[in-house]
Amino acid sequence: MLRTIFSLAAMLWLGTAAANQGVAFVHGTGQQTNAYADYWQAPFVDNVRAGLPNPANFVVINCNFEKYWWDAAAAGCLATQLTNFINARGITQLTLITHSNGGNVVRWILSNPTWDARYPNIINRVRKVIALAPSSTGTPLANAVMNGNVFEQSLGWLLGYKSDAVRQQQVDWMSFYNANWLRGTSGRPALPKPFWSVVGTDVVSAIWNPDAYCGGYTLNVGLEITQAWLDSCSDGFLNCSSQQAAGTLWFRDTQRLGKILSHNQSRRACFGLDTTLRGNL
Amino acid sequence: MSRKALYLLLASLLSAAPVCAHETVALPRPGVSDQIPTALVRAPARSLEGVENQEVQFAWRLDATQPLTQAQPYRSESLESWELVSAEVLARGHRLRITVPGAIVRLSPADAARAPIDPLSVLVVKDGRSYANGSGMSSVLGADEVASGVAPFPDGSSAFRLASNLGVGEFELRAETSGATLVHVYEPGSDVRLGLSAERMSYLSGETLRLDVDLQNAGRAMTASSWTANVLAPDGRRWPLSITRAADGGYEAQWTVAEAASTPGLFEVEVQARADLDRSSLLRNAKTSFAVALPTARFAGGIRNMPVRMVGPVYLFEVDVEVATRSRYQLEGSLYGTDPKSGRMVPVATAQTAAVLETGTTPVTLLFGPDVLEGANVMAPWELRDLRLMDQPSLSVIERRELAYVIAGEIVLPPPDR
Repeated sequence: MLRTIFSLAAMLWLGTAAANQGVAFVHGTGQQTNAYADYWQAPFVDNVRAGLPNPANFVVINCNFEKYWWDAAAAGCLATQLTNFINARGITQLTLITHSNGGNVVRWILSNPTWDARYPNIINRVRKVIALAPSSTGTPLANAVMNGNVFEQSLGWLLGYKSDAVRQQQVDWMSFYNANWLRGTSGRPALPKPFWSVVGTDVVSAIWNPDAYCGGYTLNVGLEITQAWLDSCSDGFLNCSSQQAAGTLWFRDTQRLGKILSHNQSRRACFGLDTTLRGNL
Repeated sequence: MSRKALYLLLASLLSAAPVCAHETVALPRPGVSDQIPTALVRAPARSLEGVENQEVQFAWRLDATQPLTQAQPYRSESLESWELVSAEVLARGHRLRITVPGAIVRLSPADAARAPIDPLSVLVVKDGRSYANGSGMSSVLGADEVASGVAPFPDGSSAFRLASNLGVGEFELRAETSGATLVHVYEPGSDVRLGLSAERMSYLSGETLRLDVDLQNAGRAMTASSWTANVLAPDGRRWPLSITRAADGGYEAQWTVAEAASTPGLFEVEVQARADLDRSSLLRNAKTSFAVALPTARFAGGIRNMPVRMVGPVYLFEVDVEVATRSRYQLEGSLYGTDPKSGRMVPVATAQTAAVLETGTTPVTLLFGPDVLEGANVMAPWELRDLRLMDQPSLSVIERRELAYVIAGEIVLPPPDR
């Protein structure tokens, strides 16, 4: 009962105080120590946060999303950094911008508010989540990586990623977690806050096409093989169906930008994506 | 909700007390999809270090236009195979029965410390002709490219696509390696599929896992010449699994679910089928997953709708939970109301409560307050549905009740104390 009272009190305070908007950038699978420079890159972050009334109200998250979402190093770390940001800057309305599996870590927090006493306070301050290419139902590529790693006991984890995050994004694993521990997909209770997905629908790998270069050319090469595991509509890593499975579809890349966004490009200042996000803050 | 209403609500909450203890009713008769422990397990006391120790409650409004449905277990449809091939076999020639042009082959050294295999060093043999230096391949992905991150394959893997103009049939791959290699073949568009699904997504220890297995070629059932199957726990334990003929002509398997694992993660089943196709041996592998829970707590059977004095609509449920092993348990449920226009039950709100529960029987509350019910535009009857008892440290779904409580009448605020 006490926590409920505290939650209601927080809502009351938030309703009476002047809104102080902030934005948090939540990376995808991987362990980040300088996601500002390495994962998102400065042009993207700086252009997006310029859309805030106070552009200094931003945080770029650095956590270990190689772990299962609920791990202290994953959602626990995210909760710590968001709480510190909220408290330090007095944030009352928070927009979370996520990429790939980062959307799942955020969905973990939104779906399981009783897991951690800090979660309700974070949830109450979230205005919306903008999920760029979220891995909401996983990807067949995660299954492709893991297949064969469990059949022979002697192999154990030698062959595959020793990454819980990759295991978790297998489509059959995601089916279980979406049905039992995550909200927001079809047939499940909705998330407590808006979760808007931005979907990348294709990938350009032709070396003569300048669009292939945004976000780094080398990161777009070799996709012809991985595309074989995916539907005709995919960003090179995730099917469109996975990207828009949770929450609400905000837009597909060509609908708003007139260009396609590969999985790598959807976290970079490509084709006006950053400008579109800035205008939405 | 206006600020004034919020102030009044806070005031009333701080002074609220149940007018009277409402009658305890039994949980309704179980539905066919309910998961109910028949006996509890007193497991060794587990450390709750790092686990939240405060009671936390939270509720939020749902979209009445979005129906809630029960998810079905995932069905795997495999167009691929994987097997460990010794260095001797790979040197002599490893045979593959390919059913679609342009199949993708991925090679991964079993020893991660070993040098990766250069695809251009692999000899592709078809119909007696040898294709060297990549001439039998249409796309090549070397280990260096994989390491640079262009494909999410493990470091040390390499891959190539068989040249489409070589068609289908029996291929042979030859390569010189210093150890075993995992040969993974993926055939997008193949008619040969290995289907695999579990009967349910979640099981309690001691229950029987039932699997449906079928091997088909263009929709027609195939007979497998041999099966190999295993169940693997997330902590590394494994058990062999027997695949047998099912009454419908397909295949099936059963397994008595072992104890839940001590490490988080799902159990997995991996099945390999060998079948004869046009006088050559074809391989298909499939994998699926399921959860195992240890029944360390359960609903004791009683539930109450507690009247609470508030300035707006509220439902406060007390659910009795019997606990055999101290842990942090999560109770959640969704409240449905009746849409006045259609007369249909629609989802209104969902609530969760989590707390560390000691052994014994404890009431746990689910609160649907004015913040989630005000303005919902629904009326009686109301139902509490999808009531779940979960163990947070082990991420287990222990008990699930499709229907937990029915409220026939409207919310009646008890009169204020005089």
